[in-house]
Amino acid sequence: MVFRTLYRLTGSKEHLEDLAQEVFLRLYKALPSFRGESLVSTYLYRITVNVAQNEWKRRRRTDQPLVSISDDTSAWEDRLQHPDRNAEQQMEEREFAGLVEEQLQRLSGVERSVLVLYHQEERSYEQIAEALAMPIGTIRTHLHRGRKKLREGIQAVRELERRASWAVNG
Amino acid sequence: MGSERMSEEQLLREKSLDERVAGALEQVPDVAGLIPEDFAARVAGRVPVKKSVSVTPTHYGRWVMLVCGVVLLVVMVGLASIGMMRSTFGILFEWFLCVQFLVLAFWLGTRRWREG
Repeated sequence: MVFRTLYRLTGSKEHLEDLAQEVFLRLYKALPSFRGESLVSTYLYRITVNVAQNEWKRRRRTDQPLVSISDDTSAWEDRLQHPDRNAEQQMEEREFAGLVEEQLQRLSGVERSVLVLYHQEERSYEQIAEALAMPIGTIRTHLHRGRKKLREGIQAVRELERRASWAVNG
Repeated sequence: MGSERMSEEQLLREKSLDERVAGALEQVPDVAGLIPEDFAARVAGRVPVKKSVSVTPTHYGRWVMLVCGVVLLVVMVGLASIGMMRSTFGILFEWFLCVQFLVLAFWLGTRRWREG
């Protein structure tokens, strides 16, 4: 859970193991003061998001450009589990998935966290609110905005591709 | 009428795109190959080692009591030598110090017996 969430939030496998170690070390240090008011998994998600946020800040400080998982040579699209389909459909799905990941990394940290926890990790609004220490209404707002930005970003990219294709083909 | 149909089509396209985006987000990345086999051992190796607590007794209390007893004895002998016992206050004060000294002596003397 920790590895896949960090992978999706940070957008690359760079320092992934170090980040995951940091998550478990923080959990180990915090367990004596854990009172069981929430699930351990919720607590773990909170730590994971915090570690991811620190990584975003570190990358901003070092002026690292946003890394798109689809640019990764390890082929992010291959890591997604696809049902059996014909090759063309699979390729289209992979391209679309890569486009979604690219736009996901352009969102704010909070919006990205909410989308990943809601869709990929299948957490409820209440669990996400607890993990991120935010009201449920704020979570819904970030989810709505994140989805809207994703959709608009994908539409913009597709429009650019369509115009570029039209310009080339005449 | 035409614009309404277009906005309906646009809404349908957006809804379809939203569903595709949700489907892409719901796909769980396969990270099994990214987790080292000895990951748990690596984390365990970074756990800070707890310092062991010293259980060597220091007997600070006993030494302080001994010093207090010696000081009391010196004060009593000193007061007696300067003749304070002639006044009522002097006698009372001397008795007060004497009782304190006896209590200390009793406590120190029976400490080892109580510790067994």
